[in-house]
Amino acid sequence: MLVYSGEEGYVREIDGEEDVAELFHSLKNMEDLEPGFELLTKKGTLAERPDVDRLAPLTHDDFQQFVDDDGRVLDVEPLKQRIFKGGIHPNLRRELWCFLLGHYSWNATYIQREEKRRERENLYFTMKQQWKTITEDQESRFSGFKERRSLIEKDVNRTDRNHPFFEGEHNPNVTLLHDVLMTYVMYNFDLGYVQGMSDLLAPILYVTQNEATAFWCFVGYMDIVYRNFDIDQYGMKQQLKDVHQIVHLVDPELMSYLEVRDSANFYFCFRWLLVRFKRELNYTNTLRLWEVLWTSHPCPNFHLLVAVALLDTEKNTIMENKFGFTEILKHINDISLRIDLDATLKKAEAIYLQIASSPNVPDSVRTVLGLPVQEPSTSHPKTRKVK
Amino acid sequence: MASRKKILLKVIILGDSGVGKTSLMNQFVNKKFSNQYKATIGADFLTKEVMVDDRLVTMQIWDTAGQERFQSLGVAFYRGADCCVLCYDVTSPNSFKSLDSWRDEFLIQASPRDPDHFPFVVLGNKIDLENRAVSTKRAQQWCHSKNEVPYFETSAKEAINVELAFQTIARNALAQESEVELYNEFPDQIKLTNDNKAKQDACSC
Repeated sequence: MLVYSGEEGYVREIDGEEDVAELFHSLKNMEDLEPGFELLTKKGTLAERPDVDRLAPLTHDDFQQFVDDDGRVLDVEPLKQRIFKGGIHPNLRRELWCFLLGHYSWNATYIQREEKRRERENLYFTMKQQWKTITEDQESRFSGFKERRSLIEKDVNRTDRNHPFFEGEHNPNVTLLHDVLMTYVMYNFDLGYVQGMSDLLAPILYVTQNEATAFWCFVGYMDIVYRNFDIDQYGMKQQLKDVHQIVHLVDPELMSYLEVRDSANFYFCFRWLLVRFKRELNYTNTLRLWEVLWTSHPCPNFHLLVAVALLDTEKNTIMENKFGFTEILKHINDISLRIDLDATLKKAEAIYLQIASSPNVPDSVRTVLGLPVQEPSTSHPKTRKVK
Repeated sequence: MASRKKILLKVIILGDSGVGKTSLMNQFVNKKFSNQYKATIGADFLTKEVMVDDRLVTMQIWDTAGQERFQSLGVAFYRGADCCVLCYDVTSPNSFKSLDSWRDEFLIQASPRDPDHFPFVVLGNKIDLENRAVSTKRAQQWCHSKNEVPYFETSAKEAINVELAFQTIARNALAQESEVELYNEFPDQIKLTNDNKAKQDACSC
């Protein structure tokens, strides 16, 4: 039996009743999930995937061209676009991460920035004193605090301890990691501490090399990714659905494969998304990827396209080896630290350009990627944005 | 009697964050210990071939994140489990108190056919530490109250009782797997029983 499923004349040969039943079952599920889905779609829904270049990292001299005499950055978007295309030179990171993560305002002068920095430093140490002065006796009646403290203690002792900055016993940087996370608990007690947050802070502490600065940059990062840590995991589940929608659009062949193999939940992308690929990349590449993502260029939720690009790279291995859910998860976990970041970023941007220039893109995907929605908003009440 | 085909036993390790789930798994599979395993995010597994009563079986041991909120994604990983290993840290009373909710959560999400007889094994880890806070007696009582769940006190760091515990885990998982197989060989007969109905309805929580 032959089944036609999507563009590029993709025809799958199916043998045995069970497989056919499975396939139709999965197709039915897809229809439930995506109201606009049709079993037989028109050929060539998407435009060609273009070739994309990347640039060298932004240097100090490059940056000076965006700064006026008082230190203000007036043309923010072109600067962000430039950072998106090449990242930031290591010796400029410390300063520019403060902008990208909202610790500094782009339009503040050198003087205003220094005032703000001092003000926020004081505020940090005030909040730090709050948890530092909680006695053991108080803590015995403050279980929410105690739980958070105990989780943080466990996690800082196993966060990046192989990296020179955090290695060895009694490393003061591990104490800083602890103190910043504890102070964040006082800053946002409701969210408190959730596993994964120490992974997000460690590179920031490494780059800023300053406790209070690291704290405020971390606050900025958490403002972007806090939905990853929802108590009901809504934000994570939504992002997995978004990846599903995008893969469904750009690669129906991979999508039907994953459906048939019971893998359409995309749970194997969970670690990628929770800590923004931190566990998949070495430090150099993590820093590069994160600064690229913080520009929000070329679109919001670009990290989802990074995930789709990685899946595109692994597609042949997955399909040729007939991997099921278990094997896919193992394979995805195993490619950690073997990812070509530059090639992945190129591919992710190319996929964005491909989607952006295509006429038949469903509104669900448009909303996720910040593209103008075509129909009146009443047709898709469920669509929303995840930062 | 189960056929002589290759047998895969799926084992899920659960327990609070930092009780030593990853360490126990690595000690058993790789005979290695590190106090620098990163906190597990999502899920991962290792496999190991073991002999159980002269049968060669492959254990697929799943390690998951310990923080409670990540369990809502557990269902994808728990499905088809043959044994569930509940871990706590003998120096942490809270991690012991959590055993009930880990067990309940597993039964809800994995919805095994016969929840009352599904094989659990309890491991009290970190007995190498001096500040012990949960007594053996207390743990044994809990295991007794849950239909005689096997109990081991282990140290992943010093490799104490790890091998022994996983032998029991493998044996009980194999018994469970054989039962499932037997059940699947006679689907028509079993369809009429209440058990099967319970399984079908189990996900409507």
